[in-house]
Amino acid sequence: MCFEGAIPAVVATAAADGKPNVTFLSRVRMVDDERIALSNQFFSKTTRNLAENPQASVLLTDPVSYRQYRLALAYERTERRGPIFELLHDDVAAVAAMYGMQDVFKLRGADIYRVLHIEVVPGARSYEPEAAPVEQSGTRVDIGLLAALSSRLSRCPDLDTIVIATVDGLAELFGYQHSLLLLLDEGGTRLYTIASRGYENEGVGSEIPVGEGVIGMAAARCTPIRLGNVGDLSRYGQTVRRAYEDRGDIAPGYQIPFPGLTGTQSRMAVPAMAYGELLGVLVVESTKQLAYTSDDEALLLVVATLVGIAIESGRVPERPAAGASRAAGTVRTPKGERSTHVRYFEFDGSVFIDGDYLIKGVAGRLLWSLLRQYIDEGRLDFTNREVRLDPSLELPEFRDNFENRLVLLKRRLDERHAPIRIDKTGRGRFRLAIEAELLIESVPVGG
Amino acid sequence: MGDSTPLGMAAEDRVAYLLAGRFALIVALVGEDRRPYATRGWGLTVLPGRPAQVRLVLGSDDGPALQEGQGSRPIALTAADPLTLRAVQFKGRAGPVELATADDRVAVARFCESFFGVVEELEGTDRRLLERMIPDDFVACTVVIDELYDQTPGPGAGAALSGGSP
Repeated sequence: MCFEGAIPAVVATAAADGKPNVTFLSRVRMVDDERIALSNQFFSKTTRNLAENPQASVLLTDPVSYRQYRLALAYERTERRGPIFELLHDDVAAVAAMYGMQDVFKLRGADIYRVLHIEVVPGARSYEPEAAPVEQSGTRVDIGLLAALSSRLSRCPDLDTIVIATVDGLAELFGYQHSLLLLLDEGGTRLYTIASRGYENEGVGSEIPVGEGVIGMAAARCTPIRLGNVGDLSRYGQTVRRAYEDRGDIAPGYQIPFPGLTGTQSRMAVPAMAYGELLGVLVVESTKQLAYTSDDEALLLVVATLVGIAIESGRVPERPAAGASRAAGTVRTPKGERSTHVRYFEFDGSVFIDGDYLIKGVAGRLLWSLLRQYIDEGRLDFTNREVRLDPSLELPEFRDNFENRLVLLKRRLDERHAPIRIDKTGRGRFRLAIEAELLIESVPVGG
Repeated sequence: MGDSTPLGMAAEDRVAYLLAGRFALIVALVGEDRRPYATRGWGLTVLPGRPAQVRLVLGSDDGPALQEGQGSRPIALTAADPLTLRAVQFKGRAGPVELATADDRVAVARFCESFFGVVEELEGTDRRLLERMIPDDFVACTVVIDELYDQTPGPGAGAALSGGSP
């Protein structure tokens, strides 16, 4: 647990003239049974000292028991590539990504040390078991519960139910009370929230660029990222960012507008993949420090894979039901009770309902297309198959993500309690439910 | 250490501001064989007069490391604000080790209350866990400060504040 980085380690070195130096360390990693690696971002004095006197002393604290260990170290080498470097690089990159410092805040090297001696630092009430409760972190992997989630997912007929089954299953079966599921967009550059649980706002449709923040990093690298000290890292990241801003290396004012828990201490983001391709990212959060262990990481990876395969299976074009190649409904516009103003901007496909932003991009163009057909032809019933052929949606020919966008639109309308709903009426079919008189307006590009 | 460089006012203000608040304290000692030794400090009191001096309290198990060799020993201590991570490193020489006095124990109590308070506030850590780190007993020494460095994480970490050379 000492290597989880929840409590900053301390490193002491000494110059050739015997003058010491002491500083906090952002991360220590175990290399093998005899060696550890320290991340080197700014260690100018430490680096110079090691060149003159290759000895160091490190103080590590177990974040669960608060037992402290003092390690006597002999510096061996600095690695600038390879698995250990990559491991530490990911730690640093996660902090950089949280605060938009990817271009300036980088790992310089992984300093490798041989451990010569370890001593337990005595403390007054250190290791009496009754001195304070030691909470066990993490979720015990229960294969039965995993089977239950797998069974739930296998019964889901469509994406809408898959995403709900995922976040509900994580909470009900495994106790992850705060979770997000994000999907990758058509261009592969952004992730958008399709479902969440345990947040004040569901945040459906909120976006984050691939590569930014812990979630974006997990997507960019297709690897899980687990942080147990988000509070510490946030303060560290903000301080470092301020220093770069003061030097003019980066412009001030960067923020990632993304929903999250207040007081998050632990966050884990795991890529959801299927058939070698990234589909999205599954995220869990907790206000407890070190809430997640490697067991949680393994569990979430399995869940993310199940979800990824379930989503990917849903992409298989559905066979048209007999007589359902073109479903049509009769328009009956409710009048008199209230009217709703729908404004569509051709520039980016964004849609506003009564002045409030709803959605943009493919999902926005999809809603506009459906509403136009409703107004012009009185149609309420549609099939996925015909709608996805509408050129105004500007869907890519390969991997059009149509179902994902349709579910995103449906969930966004539900979240906003809009007077327009999308109700599923069968496999590959849906119906518009309109509960107000609609006044629709399109704003052309440059309009 | 009458020949030490007087600390500049600007740096003193910065240090005084830091030490007046809540801070974490870490210490490096060096053995006869230039072997470094990392530990935590448990109390720091700025003493009046020139040259700049502080009274430093350490755990009694650090006593042997502090007493190694003859005369005063080189020492480095870094005080860091856990909230902002602004940090200053003092470098100088530690005088003879003494058993902690009543005043030193008051300084320890003040430090623990302050440091544990901020950690509890920031991380929600159970104070009883933090108290596990407190040493059984304490020793103290006077440290004459020769050099000051900015130790705040970032590209400027290690820059001399006053009287120091990087």
